[in-house]
Amino acid sequence: MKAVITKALADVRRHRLQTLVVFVISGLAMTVGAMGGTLLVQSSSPYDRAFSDLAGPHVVVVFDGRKLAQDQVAATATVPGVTGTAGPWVVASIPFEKGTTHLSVTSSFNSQTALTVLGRDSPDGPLDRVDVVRGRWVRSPGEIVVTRTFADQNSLALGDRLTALATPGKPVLTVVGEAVDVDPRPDRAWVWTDQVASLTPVDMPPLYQMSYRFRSASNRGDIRADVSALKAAVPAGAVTAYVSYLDSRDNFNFTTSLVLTFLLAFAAMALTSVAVIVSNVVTGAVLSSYRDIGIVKAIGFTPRQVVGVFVLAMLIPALAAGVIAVPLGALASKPLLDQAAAAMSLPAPSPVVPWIDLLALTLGLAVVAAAATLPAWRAGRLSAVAAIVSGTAPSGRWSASLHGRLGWWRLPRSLVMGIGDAFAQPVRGGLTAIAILVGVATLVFASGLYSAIIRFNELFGPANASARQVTASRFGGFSDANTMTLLQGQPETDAVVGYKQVEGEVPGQPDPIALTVFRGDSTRLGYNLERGRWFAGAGEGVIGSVFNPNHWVVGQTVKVRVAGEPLNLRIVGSCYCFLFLAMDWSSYNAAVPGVQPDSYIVQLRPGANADAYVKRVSASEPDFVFPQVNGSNSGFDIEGILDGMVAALALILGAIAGLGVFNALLLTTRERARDIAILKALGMTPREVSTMVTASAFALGAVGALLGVPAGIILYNYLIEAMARLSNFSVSSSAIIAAINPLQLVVVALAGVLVALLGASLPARWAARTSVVNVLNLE
Amino acid sequence: MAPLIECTGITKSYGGPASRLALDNLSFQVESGEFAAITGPSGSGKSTLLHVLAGLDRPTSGSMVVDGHELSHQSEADLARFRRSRIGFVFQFFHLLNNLSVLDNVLIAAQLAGAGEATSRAHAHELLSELGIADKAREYPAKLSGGERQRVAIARALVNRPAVLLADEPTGALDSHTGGQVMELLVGFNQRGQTVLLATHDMELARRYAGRRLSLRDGRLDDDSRSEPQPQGHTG
Repeated sequence: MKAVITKALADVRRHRLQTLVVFVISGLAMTVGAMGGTLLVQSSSPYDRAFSDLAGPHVVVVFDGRKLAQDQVAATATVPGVTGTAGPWVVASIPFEKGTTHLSVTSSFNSQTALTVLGRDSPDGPLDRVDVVRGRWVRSPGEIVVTRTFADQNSLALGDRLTALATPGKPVLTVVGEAVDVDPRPDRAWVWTDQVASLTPVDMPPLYQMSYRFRSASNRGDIRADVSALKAAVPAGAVTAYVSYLDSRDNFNFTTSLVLTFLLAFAAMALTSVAVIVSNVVTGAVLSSYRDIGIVKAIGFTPRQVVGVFVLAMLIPALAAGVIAVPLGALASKPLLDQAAAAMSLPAPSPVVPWIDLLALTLGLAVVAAAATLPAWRAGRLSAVAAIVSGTAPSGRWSASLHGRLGWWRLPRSLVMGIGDAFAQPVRGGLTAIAILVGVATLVFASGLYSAIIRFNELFGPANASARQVTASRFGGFSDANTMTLLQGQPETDAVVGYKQVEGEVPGQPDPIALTVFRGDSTRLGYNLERGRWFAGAGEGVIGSVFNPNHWVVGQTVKVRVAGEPLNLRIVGSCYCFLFLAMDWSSYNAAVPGVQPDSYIVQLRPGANADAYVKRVSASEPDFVFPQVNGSNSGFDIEGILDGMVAALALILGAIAGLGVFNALLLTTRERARDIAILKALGMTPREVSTMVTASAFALGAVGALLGVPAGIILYNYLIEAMARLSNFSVSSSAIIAAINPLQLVVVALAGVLVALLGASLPARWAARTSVVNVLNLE
Repeated sequence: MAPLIECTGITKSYGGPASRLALDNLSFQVESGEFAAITGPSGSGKSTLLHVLAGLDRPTSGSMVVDGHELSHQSEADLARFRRSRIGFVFQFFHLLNNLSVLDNVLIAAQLAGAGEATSRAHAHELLSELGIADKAREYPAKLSGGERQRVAIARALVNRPAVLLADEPTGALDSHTGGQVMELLVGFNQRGQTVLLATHDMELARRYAGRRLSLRDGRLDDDSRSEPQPQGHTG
């Protein structure tokens, strides 16, 4: 063993450049691997971990304070099946402003102007604990703790003063802390219990919130049964809303599953690249070390020891790289973990997971060892005498037929020879081309994903992007008529559509669905239709393409109950939107008369300044009307999360591919030093030599890029389908996949060729400088 | 008429702390059509002189005109272009490209020089026939004997009809019989007007085949003699 180590160390010292290449590429790959592994473990189930750490509840229920008192709510702790509770806490929905700016918060699919404020005197307790991540918990009236996401989105700092609106006293609260809990909705805040009464708007009924754990809550059926038991224990209609941990978890996983699928694809590709390049390095080392192999075999190395020397010479730099790269990868995952957690207002998990780091190191070394063993096996099987006598491996032959096809006399000779060189060693050339292929496929996938996200946002955004929309909500008893007058009185207003979210029951289905009722010309809102048309009046409805739990189809007539009243709606279309079921006000009014919208979408005239509009409307009724500029209907903000990651990983894979080409051409140039010297002796100019080496890289890069593009498209299609499945979307993935831009493919393919050319630049320069006399005199 | 090769005060030293003078103020001329042998013991500067004349290496000082080209101050690229059109070089160890067939080894020199395909191909076949290896045109060098390889190298050196053929110990790696055959071939080409400069340590060989002998010792021109060649059968 000592002899093997001695020889391997000598090889490492002698082939410093190759050692450096292996060090860098295995380091880069292990960085990505450790990063991917950490993210996989730490963000695949952040909700589950937060749920466990903070003793999350199975169900959070909101009770109507007009139907039962707080002690009656507390008494539900004894309902059969309940194993733990927290609360009840007094709750109010309150809009706030900081200075003269209305505060709002955007979560996955909507934007909120009012915060759900809980009166809670302590963040601790046996169930549903809150983790204060900055500052402290409230100690008295006049203080408020907000979610971290709310603070981030509104640039709030500790000590900021927020004014509660839509209340007579307009109390001012000081932000004393930022917190996270297991509820991924960011539109929440906590105040001292006694404060809530002074914050509650005049037209708002008193509400209580209580958290429960149940004996059985592993699926939606269990949850429904548990909630039914609670409902049975309180007066009818007392339960106004509930959220289960399954809903929250799905909500969270939507984003993280996309990020993870993407990252794991990258990690797998990086490791594939490393395997290919290490194989290439060892293949080259075996080919150029025939004499050495013969000598060590002659002095008594067994075939296994010969293999061991080559494998160890690769493992030494890989291990050194891993020791640095794995902690770096773990650290690199921290911003992403923080970002993913912050996106859902969950506590950020630690990036240090020792067993994952160890696994990443072991896996990286195993890949290097396996990739080295295969070509090293060839060295082990060599005959000692043959190896010593030949000195070098038989070189490949430049294919005469290839030369013929390229046209000997039409292309410069150096180009033809370079291209021939690329394929003279099929294994070497193949491995190099694969490294490029993997890099190009990854870039195609990444750019495709971007296209898909853009397409997704186009589909789910308003059809007329040039005309901005503003959403306004009314509070504190400000009437519908006054709100309409205010909004319609603005010069930029093109149309005002009132709307209201109501709960509908579907006969035979246990879960209620959200119905969106529009008043006015809702065709102006610009929802993109997937099928059919927008509803034209009473008795018609439009379903969304994402959330369709009952599998309704266009043309079908569905029965729903709203406030106990039956409604028959014919589905006339489906839209790219996050609505469950949308209908006209006339349909709703027939079943539930005398209700007015509480929110309004204002379609502005093209070119209108939406921000100025919001400012003016806010100033007109600062306490009661809360307008905000709409982003897009999708609220799909994964671009931000993926942005840095895509850039970093694309760079890493590009570097790996470039180093692969560099290494392959370096080996080829060294092996061909004699041939290059002969060609120079025959009159090849330094530039022609350089062209020859570069042409070789170009050929390999072109083959890798040409194959990498379709490979990337296949991968992209497969992963988009997988992502769609993971995120429980019913939207047709083909609508998004179709978005890939041919120009991007061309650019990516060219980038692959460019990386190959960059990798070739140094070997080409060395080849051009080859001294004929030195090389041939050494023969 | 101007000489084909005119060297004036050529000096070549190899740098480093222990600087060594490989060529020491050499001056001589070679006329077109001559068969000159550069002789001398190992280390006397024969190969260095040939390398310098071929533009493979540069003299440290002195001036050197070959076929009307002043080589001392030319760029690498210019030297390469000069080499491929005006110089044919035969190495002791043949230096064929192992991954090209015999024919391609010959043709590649023509292609580098930008010669027309049909003419070059015809000339290459002609040379291979003349050298007795036409039947080996599709073989690869690994399958050839030493003598056959050197014939391929000669064909390659001559395919562009060079002004001068430089041969560095062309028989050094061959047995005496084969070496003699190779020398006869060179003589044959010389008799048809090809200028040949032969570097050899073998004085006997030089006397037998070359009409002029430039004898080097420690990089200096020790003797420049002329006499009729005295062929006495084959030798290496």
